[in-house]
Amino acid sequence: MSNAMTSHDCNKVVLKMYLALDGELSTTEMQEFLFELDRCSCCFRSFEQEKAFRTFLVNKIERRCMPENALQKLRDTLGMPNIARI
Amino acid sequence: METPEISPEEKIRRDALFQREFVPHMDTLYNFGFHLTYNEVDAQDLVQETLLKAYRFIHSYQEGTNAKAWLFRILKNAFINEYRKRARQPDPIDYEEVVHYQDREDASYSGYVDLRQEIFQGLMGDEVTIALNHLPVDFRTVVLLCDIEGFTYEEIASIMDVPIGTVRSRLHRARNMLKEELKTYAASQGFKENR
Repeated sequence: MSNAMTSHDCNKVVLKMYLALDGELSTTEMQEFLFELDRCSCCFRSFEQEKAFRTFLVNKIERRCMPENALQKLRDTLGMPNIARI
Repeated sequence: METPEISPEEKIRRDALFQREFVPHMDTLYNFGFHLTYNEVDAQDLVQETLLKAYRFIHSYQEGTNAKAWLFRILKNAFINEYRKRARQPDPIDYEEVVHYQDREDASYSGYVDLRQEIFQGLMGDEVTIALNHLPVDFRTVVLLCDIEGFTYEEIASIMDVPIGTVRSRLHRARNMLKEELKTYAASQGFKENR
């Protein structure tokens, strides 16, 4: 996947891929990262797959809300009957 | 909760602050506690303990600061103090190896696990939750904090009391472990890679 002539390093792009998807790149770093994706179809494909995996995780992991009886217990303990779920 | 040392006006102010700053995070706290313990009662106890502690120290809270990260940190510590010590066996993960792993810069990211979209899209939520539950708790925690709650690496480092490099390496390894788990499960269910 690497292209020595243009100093594209797929391993470095993969490293940046995680940071990019986690929102940890600066604007400049993000621009550089996107430029590298344009240069390598393998990196672009890896990025798309990783992005899809993140979306999949967020959508599939079960989310639970605090049960009403536990909320009532909190109201009683704190002496705050008006605590309301927002 | 008795607060005899404060005036009625101060109690009203603190209650309003609690409702405004802390209560909005109650459900996400519960969800985090549930995924840590996989037990509804334990999760409820963790949230109760967390919010009671936050209320007790509400006088030190500066409005507008990161209430969510503070609450998650309290809950994580409560989990460690009250629940993790119940485990009779030490965690089999070699954390020293993990810490050293993150020092190897680029080498630490060479183990990218390719999980093609068509393999995992057929999986159900329960299977993903089970796979997540199979991760060691420190690895599960970083996935929950980053991917589900959207905390930054810096916030996660603060919540977990570890360096940012450790957050990065744990996230990397946790996601790869999760992919491997899901890949194995998908294969067992008849999903195949279509290269």
